[in-house]
Order: sequence, then C-alpha cells, then structure tokens
Amino acid sequence: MQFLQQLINGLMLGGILAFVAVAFTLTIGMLNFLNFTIPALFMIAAMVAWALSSTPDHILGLQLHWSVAIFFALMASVLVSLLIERLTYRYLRSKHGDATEHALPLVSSLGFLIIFEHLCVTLWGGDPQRFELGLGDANLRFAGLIVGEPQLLSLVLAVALAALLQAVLNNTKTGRALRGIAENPLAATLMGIEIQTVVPIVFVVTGLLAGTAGIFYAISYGTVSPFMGDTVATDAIAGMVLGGLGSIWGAVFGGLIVGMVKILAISTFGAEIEKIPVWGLLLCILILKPSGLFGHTQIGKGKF
Amino acid sequence: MSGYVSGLLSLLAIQTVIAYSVYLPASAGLLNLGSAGFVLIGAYSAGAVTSLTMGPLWLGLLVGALSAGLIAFVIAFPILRTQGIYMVLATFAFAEVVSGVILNIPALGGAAGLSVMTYAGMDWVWGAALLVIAFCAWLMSTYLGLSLRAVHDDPNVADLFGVNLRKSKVIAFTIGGAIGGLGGGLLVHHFNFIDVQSTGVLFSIYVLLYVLLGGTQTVWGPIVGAIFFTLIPEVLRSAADLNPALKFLESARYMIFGVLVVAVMALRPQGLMTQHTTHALGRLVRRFWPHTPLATAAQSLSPSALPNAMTASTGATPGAAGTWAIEIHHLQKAFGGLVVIDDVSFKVKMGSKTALIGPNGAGKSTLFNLLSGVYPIDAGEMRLNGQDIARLPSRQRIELGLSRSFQNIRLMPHLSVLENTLLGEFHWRPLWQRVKSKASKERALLALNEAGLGSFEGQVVSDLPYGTQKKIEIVRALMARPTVLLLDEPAAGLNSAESLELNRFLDSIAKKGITLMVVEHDMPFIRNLCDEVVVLNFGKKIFEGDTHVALGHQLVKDAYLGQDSTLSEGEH
Repeated sequence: MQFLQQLINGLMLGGILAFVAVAFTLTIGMLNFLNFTIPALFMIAAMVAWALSSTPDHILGLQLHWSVAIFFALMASVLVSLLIERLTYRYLRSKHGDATEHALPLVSSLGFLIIFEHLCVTLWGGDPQRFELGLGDANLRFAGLIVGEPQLLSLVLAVALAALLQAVLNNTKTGRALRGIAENPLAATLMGIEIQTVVPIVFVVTGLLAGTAGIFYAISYGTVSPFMGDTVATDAIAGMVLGGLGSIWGAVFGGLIVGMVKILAISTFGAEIEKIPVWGLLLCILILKPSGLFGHTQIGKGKF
Repeated sequence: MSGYVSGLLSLLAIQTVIAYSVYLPASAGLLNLGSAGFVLIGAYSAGAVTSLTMGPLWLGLLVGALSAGLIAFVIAFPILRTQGIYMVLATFAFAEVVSGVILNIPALGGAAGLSVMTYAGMDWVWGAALLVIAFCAWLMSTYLGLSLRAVHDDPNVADLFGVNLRKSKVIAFTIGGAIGGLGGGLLVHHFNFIDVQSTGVLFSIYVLLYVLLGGTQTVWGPIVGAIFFTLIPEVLRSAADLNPALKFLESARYMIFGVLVVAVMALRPQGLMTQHTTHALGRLVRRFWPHTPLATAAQSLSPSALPNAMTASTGATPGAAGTWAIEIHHLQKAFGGLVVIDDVSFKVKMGSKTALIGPNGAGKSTLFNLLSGVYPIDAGEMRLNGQDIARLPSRQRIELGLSRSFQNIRLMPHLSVLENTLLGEFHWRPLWQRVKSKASKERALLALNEAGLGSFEGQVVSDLPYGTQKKIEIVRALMARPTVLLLDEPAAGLNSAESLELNRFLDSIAKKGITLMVVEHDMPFIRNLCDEVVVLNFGKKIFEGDTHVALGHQLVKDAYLGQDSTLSEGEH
C-alpha cells in the first residue's frame, strides 16, 4: 500500500514534469533551441498568481479572486515568453542568421532566466511564500490512498494537451508550417511560410504550458519562490531526453518516468539519493541512445 | 590592501582558474555545462587530503587536480561521443551525478558540507591562477591548440589535415577537468568550506557564461570574462553600500548581470575578446615597443632566391618514369541507389598536371572526396605513389603526401591567414610544438609571399576577398608538403587576370615536382595548365589522355554540349 501511494505521488509529480518537458521538447524540436527561460515562465505564473491573490502589503497584492489571478498569471507567462521570442530567438536569428549557432539563443535565454528570477527577488524577496487558494482540502481519498486533485487534473491535462498538440501538428496548416520550419527553416521561408508569424505560436504554447505547470505545482505543494522553477526544469529536461528530443509523447512519458523514479528513490533510499538515479539514467541514455525512446536523431546536433 | 579588496581579488583568481577549465574544451566547440562536477571532485579530494590525512596544501591541490583530471579522462570517451546539445546535457547530468554521489558519502559530510582547516591565501590562489593562465596560453600556442581551434571551425577539414579529432578533444577535456579540480581545491581551502548546494547547476551556468562572454576565440577571453563579471556585481554592491540612493542595486545586480549577458550575445556574440581585439592590442603594444616584422625580411629576398619552402621533402622524385602518383582501379561508389562513381579506372603520372573534367554531376568532386577519404569507397582500389590508401583513415592520407583544396572555400573562418597556412603543417609537427616558432613562421611567410599573399599574414580570413581565400587554401594545402595536390575548381569565380596569375603559380608548383590534379570547368585554363585529362560523365570515365586530343574528342564534346550520344558512340 505504501508503495502504491508512492507510485501515485510519483505519477502526480510526473504530470507536472510532463507539462514542462513538453514545453522544452516543443522549442527544441521546432526551433532547435534549448530554451532555458522555461523555468522562469513556470515561476512567473506561480509568483504572479500568488501576488495577485495576496494581501496588499506585497507588490501587486490586489486580493483578486483565484480564477482571475490565475488568468492574469497565465497572461504574464505568455507575454514574457513572447518577449523572449522577440529578444532572443528572433533578434539573434535575424541579426546573425546562422541556425547552427544555436548556442547564441541558449546563452541569451540563460541571461533572461537570471533577469526574471532576480526581478522576482527584487519585487517580492527571495524567500518561499505560502500559496493558498482557499479551496479547502483538495485531496481525494479512496481505499486508504490519497490523490491530490490539482495533481490529478494536471496529469489528465498534460495527456490531453499532448494529444491536442500532436493532432494540431499533424493535421492543421499551422502544424504543417511548424514542421516545415523544424525540418528546414530556410526552405520553409522560401516556400512562403512566414516564420515571423508562425514561430511566436510556439512561444505562446510554451508560455501556457510552463505557466500552467507552475500554477499546478504551486497549488499542489502550497508554496512559491523565485527559484522554484530550477529543479522542476532540470527534472523536466531529464524527462525530455529520456523520451527523445522533439517527441511530444516522449516528453509526457519521460516526465512521468522521471517523476516516479524520483519519488520511489526518495521513499526507498532517502532524500539524499534523488539525484543519482535520475541523472545517472539520463547520462546513460545520452551516451547509449541519445535519440531517447521516441526522438529523432538529427535534432540538436549543430555545432557551437 | 583591505580585507574586502583582497577577498575580491582572491575570488577573481579562483573564478579565473575555473573559467579556464571550461575554456579549453570550449575552444574546440565543446560546451561544458558541468564544471561544478570537476570542481566538486577536486574540492572534496583536496579537502580529504588536507583534513582527513593532514597532508600539506600543495599535495591536496595536486591530488584534487589529478583526480578530477583522471575522472575527466575516463568520462571523456563516452561524453565526447555525444554532439551539440546532447553534450551540453551530458556534462550537466555528469555534474548532477557527482553531487549526488558526494551527498551520499558520509565521510565527506553529506549535505552539511566539508570544512577544512588548511587555508589557501592570496599567494596560493594567485600563484595557481597565473600558472594556469601561463599554461593555457602556452597550450593554445602549440599545434594542439591550433588543432582545437580548427576542430571548432570545421572538424572535417581539420581531420583531412591530419588532426586526430578524438585525441585533441579528449586532451582538452581532460586538462580542462584537471584545471577545474585545481580550482575546486583552491575554492575549498580559501573559504575553508565547500558544500554541494552552493556548487550546483547555477555555478556551472555562471562559469560557462563567464567564458562565453569573455570569448573563446583567444586565450585571453576567460580572464576578461572573469574580471568583468566578478567585478561588476561587486562594484554595484559597494555602490549600493556607499550611497543609500543606490540601494536598489544591491538586489538588482544579478539582473544587471543578466542584461549584460543578453546584450553581449546580441551585440558581440563572439564574446568580448576576439581575434580583432587582440590584434588591435598587439598593434598598440608594437607602437611603443617596435620590432622588425618577419615579413619584410622575407619580402626583401628575390623570388628566384627563395628556398623551396613548399617543396616536398619526402616521396616523389620529379619525373621519374614508370611511376604513378595516383592509380585507381574499378572504383565504385553509390549513395543509396544512386551510382555516382561507376567502375572508374585511371592513372596519373608523377609530376604531371592532370585535369579531371566532366559536366556537373559527373562525379568529379566525389572522386576527390573518395581519394582524400571524406567518404569510404564501395569497391575498387586506390593507390597513392604505389601505396594502397583505400582503407586508410582520411587523416593518414595527408601523411602519405595527398593534400587538397575544396570547391567551396573551407578555410577556418576564425583563424588568421598565418594560422590557416600553418594548419597545413600540422601532420608533420609534434603536437606540443609552438605554432609560431620563428622557423615555421618564416616558412609560412615565404609560402604566402610566393603566392603573393605576404601582406595578409595577420588578418582573419573571413575578412578577405574570395580570390584571396581560394589562394590561401592552395598555400595551406602546399604547406602539408604534398607529393600530390588535388585542386577542386581553383579558378572558379576568378576573373581572367586572376586566373592567369593562378596558372603561373600552379606552374611554378608543378616545376617543383608536385603532381597536380585539377577539377575545373574553365577550358582555356585547363588547356594552358594541364597536359593530361581524365573525363567523367555520369560516373563513368569516357576519356583519358592528352589535353588537346581530349578537347577535340567527339565523346567529350557530346558530354559537354549534349549531342545525341548514341550516334556518336556508334561513330566511336
């Protein structure tokens, strides 16, 4: 029973990781860009939702209803994501052109990660804050097992969104344009795909996915902080690699596996062990089968 | 010196050491996002030596560097199999595994960290930092350093010029790891404490940012990056301390760091220190400290008095009858279902000037790529000066005297003209020899002067015009002391005066006994230069023999002008 409960906990954490992993895999699969601002988007949504619903002694403390706060939080995350598209990806691409030099957007996104995390430190301080929606006990109990409602919702949503994204990519004109850009940006441009209008879609989706995950995380664990995104994002990267770069279902699957491995390792061997199984597994996969479980081999091999 | 300033300077020294550990592999294009891993290994093993066994500080630092170097060496082989973003992630994962392992060794203090008694002061950290800087400056001035920068720019061409890619990368990664370990040893003994928490993902990210922002093109990049990004946050903090109106800087300084990262990437993506910067600084130094440049000494010699700077010292004796420079028998190559070289056999006389012609898609460049080893062959034989080269790795063919140029210019864009030229010498120079020794510099300048390029010596090649770059490619190929030189469309894109000049230059090369094989579409150029012609069409050889016969031959005309080939085959 104990084991079953841990498995459920792992699956629930995995649901949140899956969200973030899909965000990572989307930008790397479509744009060959390892977007390190995703932890910032994750954190911004959670922090803004907390700030808007908090008491007026905090900046932006408007005591808004939770649904309104969450709405504006997601807007903030999407806006920041678009800002990053404008300033890292699009700017560097139009200025330096070379798609193989993708260390440039990567490093630039690390810069933005630092900026936004410390912006939040400046606005609200570096300490973790309690996050409560006032919804009361949000846990389902049956047969002695506890399942968190927000976590369950995020798991279901992650799977549903992955299915939706995959369907959009496969079946719509925009999806075909995106896949064209992923395959060969120059040829896609010559075929009349307007990169300037299609690429921001990826960033809107990234902002929504990371932001939603951040809010679910904050609700599930009841706390927010400017650096809350870092561990989640590194675990999500591990999940993405496990599933294979560029594969949406791979990211969902990888995120769930990482969540479960992590929780099971902690509950079996104690908190100090958590890094070894996750990152050891990742290192082995990178060396032995870099394309992961479902990935394409040609993604992310450009030079620096 | 106040305690604050000396503390800051010590921190700068340690940051510099760690920055160089990331710089070495980065100079070959290998991004290491796991420097924290090597720093932790070095710190904990050094700390174990001084605190658990009461060893002296120097022994601790040595053990720290050696153990990190050893582990770097071991993991270099699997990690360097990965490429691009995968390698970034693999180094990142490695660092996480290291910190996970250390957390689970109770003797090292686990999450509580490790405290040591031995203290490394300013003298130690700066002594080590200066040593590391001097060592890296020396390393990057050797042929190994040149090979790393060549691997960064174009690994395939580096390989064709004799660079053992894996060896160069493993050496850089291993030495980088050892330097990181040394940095860790200094870190733990300067602060008398280390823990896994403070040396994590963010640590690795910041170190990588120092190095990339400083610039990986020159050996001075990491120190500039470390100075810039250690001092700026501190200056902002002290400004906040001194003036209450600037209080916001206290918390905003990291944001300012982030803004600088973004700004440098946008405005100066090669980093703060580039080839251009060092050249400008060099010129400034020379203004106050003049010396006679080598170039003028070389230029004063008359061309006829030049020693044969580029002539082969091994291999062919010019014009020896009955010997073949290249022998190809029943060569076969297909890409998937497309047969591009179909049962081609021909021989090239030693010391001859042979053209390889044929319409586009005939397989000329493919044939060159098969000869130089860019692609493996499917079947057949290839001999160079009588030696079988068909199964030889590409980097070893240059040692047997086969050198080449490329259809699309493939010079190393971030190296100077002189350095590009000297890359040609790589395969017969010891790895640890300095590249710009007086002797080799003079040799390269002579070669450049012979090609009329002496004045471009110090420039970065990407700044030069097309025709000049094409010539530099030929000089680079000649510096390898070839007996056989393959030139892929050397006259393409040149105007008639330039092509005449090239013709004279190639003639003078051939007079030294080097066998030339030239792919070219410019027929007057071929008529003037070459005495033999091999004609390919659709992967098959259709003619081999005298140039003037070839250019009048019906089959050759058909291939180029598109006559009805069935008719002409009947005639033949």
